[in-house]
Amino acid sequence: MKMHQIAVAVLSLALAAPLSSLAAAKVNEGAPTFEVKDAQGKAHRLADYKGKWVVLEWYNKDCPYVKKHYGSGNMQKLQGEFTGKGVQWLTVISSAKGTQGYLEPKEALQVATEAKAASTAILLDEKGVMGRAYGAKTTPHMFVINPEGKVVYAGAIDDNDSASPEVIAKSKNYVASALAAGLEGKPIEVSSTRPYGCGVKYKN
Amino acid sequence: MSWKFWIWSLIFFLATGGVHAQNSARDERLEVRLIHHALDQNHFRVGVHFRVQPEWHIYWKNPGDSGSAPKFAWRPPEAVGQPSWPLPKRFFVGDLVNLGYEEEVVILFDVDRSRVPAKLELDLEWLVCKVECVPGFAKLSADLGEATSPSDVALIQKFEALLPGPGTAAPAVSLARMDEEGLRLQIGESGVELFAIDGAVLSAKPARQVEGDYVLAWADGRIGAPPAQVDLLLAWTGDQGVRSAEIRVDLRTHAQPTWSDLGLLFFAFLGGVILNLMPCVFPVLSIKILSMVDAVGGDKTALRGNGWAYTGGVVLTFVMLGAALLLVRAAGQQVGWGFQLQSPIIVSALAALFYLLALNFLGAFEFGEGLMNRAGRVSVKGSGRVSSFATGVLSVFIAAPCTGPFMGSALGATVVLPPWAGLGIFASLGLGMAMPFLLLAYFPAWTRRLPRPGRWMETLRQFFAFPLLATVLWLLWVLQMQTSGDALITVLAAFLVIGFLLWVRGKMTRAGVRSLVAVLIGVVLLGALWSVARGPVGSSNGAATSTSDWAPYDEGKIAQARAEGRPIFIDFTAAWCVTCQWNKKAVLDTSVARELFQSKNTYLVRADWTDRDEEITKALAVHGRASVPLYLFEEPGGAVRVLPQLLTISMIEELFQNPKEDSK
Repeated sequence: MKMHQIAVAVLSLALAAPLSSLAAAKVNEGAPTFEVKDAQGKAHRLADYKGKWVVLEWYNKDCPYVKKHYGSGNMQKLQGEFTGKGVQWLTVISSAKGTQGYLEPKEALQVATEAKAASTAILLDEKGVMGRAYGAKTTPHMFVINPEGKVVYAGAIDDNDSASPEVIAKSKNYVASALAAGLEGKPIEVSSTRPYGCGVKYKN
Repeated sequence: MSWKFWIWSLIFFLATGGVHAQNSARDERLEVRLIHHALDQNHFRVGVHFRVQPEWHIYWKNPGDSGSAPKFAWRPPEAVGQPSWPLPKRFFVGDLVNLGYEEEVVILFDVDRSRVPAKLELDLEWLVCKVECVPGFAKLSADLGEATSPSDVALIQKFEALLPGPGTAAPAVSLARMDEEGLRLQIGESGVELFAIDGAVLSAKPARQVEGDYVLAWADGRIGAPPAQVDLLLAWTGDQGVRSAEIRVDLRTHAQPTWSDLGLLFFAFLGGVILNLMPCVFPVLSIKILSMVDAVGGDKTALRGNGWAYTGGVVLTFVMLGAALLLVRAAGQQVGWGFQLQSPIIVSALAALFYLLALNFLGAFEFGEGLMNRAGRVSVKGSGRVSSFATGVLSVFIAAPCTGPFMGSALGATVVLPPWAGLGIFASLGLGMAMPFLLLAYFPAWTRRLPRPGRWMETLRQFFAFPLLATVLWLLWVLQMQTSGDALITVLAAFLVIGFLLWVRGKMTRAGVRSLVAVLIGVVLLGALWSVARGPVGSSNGAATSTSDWAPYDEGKIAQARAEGRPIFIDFTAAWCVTCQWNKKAVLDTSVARELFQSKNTYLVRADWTDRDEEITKALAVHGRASVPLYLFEEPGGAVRVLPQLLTISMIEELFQNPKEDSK
């Protein structure tokens, strides 16, 4: 009897090993870890935010779609509203040096001040490691992570991919909906959408 | 609203310069205008005609990983139907895949003229991108009473021909499987292109072709349960050129394991059973079972327990081997039967292995029995089950060299199938191999009917040396294509020396001397492999092969031929790909085909993938393929046709019979 038990146990281990190594690469609801410095030189890790709601916002100051939300004040409004409720809002720049949207730390702080951004920090992911880990494709591309570290929303900021700021008033904002529902403990209606915006300018 | 908002709006309007309504607008990246064509008194076809500068593109209704489809706001809205989108193209921009149009496209609309009081007006927004993107806005209008020029009518008709047709015309599509990676679809034809209609569900990447099936990946970062159905645009090449249709695939019909999957498992099982007849296994096996029956006496439970222990040992070992293979695959390396043959070192090593095995079968030397004896000795001391388990494990390793010619395809399939299927195949192999032993454990009476190991075994064993030698021949042929004639002679010389040393060893009686000779053999082998590794690695790209009509794969030269207006035929092939060699001999290198190609001044490219050339791997990936053969024919004008994997001469004739209209 003992032999059989051991054999079954070892057999199931053998089966589990390759399956788990492959699962991590696919659709996975646990947020990938990251470790990136922000524009003030401070390092941020996903683990630092355990127990808090986190929003990741991919940003490129020259992208017309980012300008749509910043020019109209829409993004800053969201940032202010939710950081006021304890949400950690991280703006991430994954543009490689020399590409559209790349900013040196000082420039990034300056741009944020001028735009009156209300995010918690601006992460400078020049190597694109964090962007690739999350599969960030566009700017803006939004991710909402719950206090347990699970990604509960990934995709576009709202449901109208026009570049014109005029449509914002009538657009359904997925991030605001996800946060509003999540903060009240209600289920999140829309958990993933196709992100829109300019392609993230990753390092090659 | 902040003043900044107004500034940005103003900039947008200024950027387009299209504040006043007219029927066309332009900027430095594109030109857009409204054209129309009366089908009858009230039914009009209206087209939004975009002409885009080279290297820039606009988007399809599903723009893909990034980008944004053009947006149409008609006035009056009730007069105009939904947009009809011509067949899009794929664009690869960095890591992303976009779906859209370049150069020129007309998006078509059905208009009910009776509902248009005066002019038909359109508020248009678009996004045009090269690497960076620029949105554009325009207000356009059209007077439907105006006559349309014949060239505009022709333009509308040209793009009407590129609209999707009825779904009933499309090749049949069925869902074979749905897993974490995406959908695996079985489609009646090869060379089909698939475009997801909802970019939130499926990726814009081209479908991967796996054993004739199409694998479409889920959209990156998609979370949540899969939808009940997906809509796809299918494009295929028919008799009249490229056609497309939108189809819906129902995902709720749970993908049953298909015939081919079950078939593979069955053949793997059968292979496992045959393994028992292998001289590597049978003699020791029959001795083992007999001794086990004797040792256990009449105790049926103990006997059966031993049988299961043996089965456990065999299956576990096979599964671990499979798991190891899959882990390596998961680590990013492409390990598999075919792919191993891309390294001349591996080819030489395999050739040496099969050569030694053939010699072993022929009786030139013996080995491995020491191992089996040691396992047997364990049984005398410990409990029967441990030794049976150990025997099971050992049997696999001793049988492994015998699997070669039989198991190649099953192992190859393991690499491309999802993990559970791959492991399933290995488990079936193991089960097949253990089955006879297990059966005998349940019906020990049958052991009396087992043929006694005897002279017939020797004959059978010697017989199996010849298929092994045939495999050695094939491997050496692959080797000489990968390297040079010198490498071939080196390996053959090594074989000669090894053969001699084995004969010497056979004549020696002292164990120490025998071991020394064995070590010498190992040294010779390593030396040969090292020499092959150091030798020139030139695939048949450089070597003059059957005809000098074929040029090696060079994108620059292909672009040049394209610019010269020559038709281009690309043969993606590899030395170890049997189908490719067959197609070459039977079709491509025949005088009929050569004449046809030459008469049209076709630029012939042989993309030799024997050494897994990176450039060629990328070129294959662009067409959604991960292996060879792949046959592409590009007409002057840019239309590309993908030929089936098994060629006939009439297919080549067809290429030159219906020249498509120049798409420019």
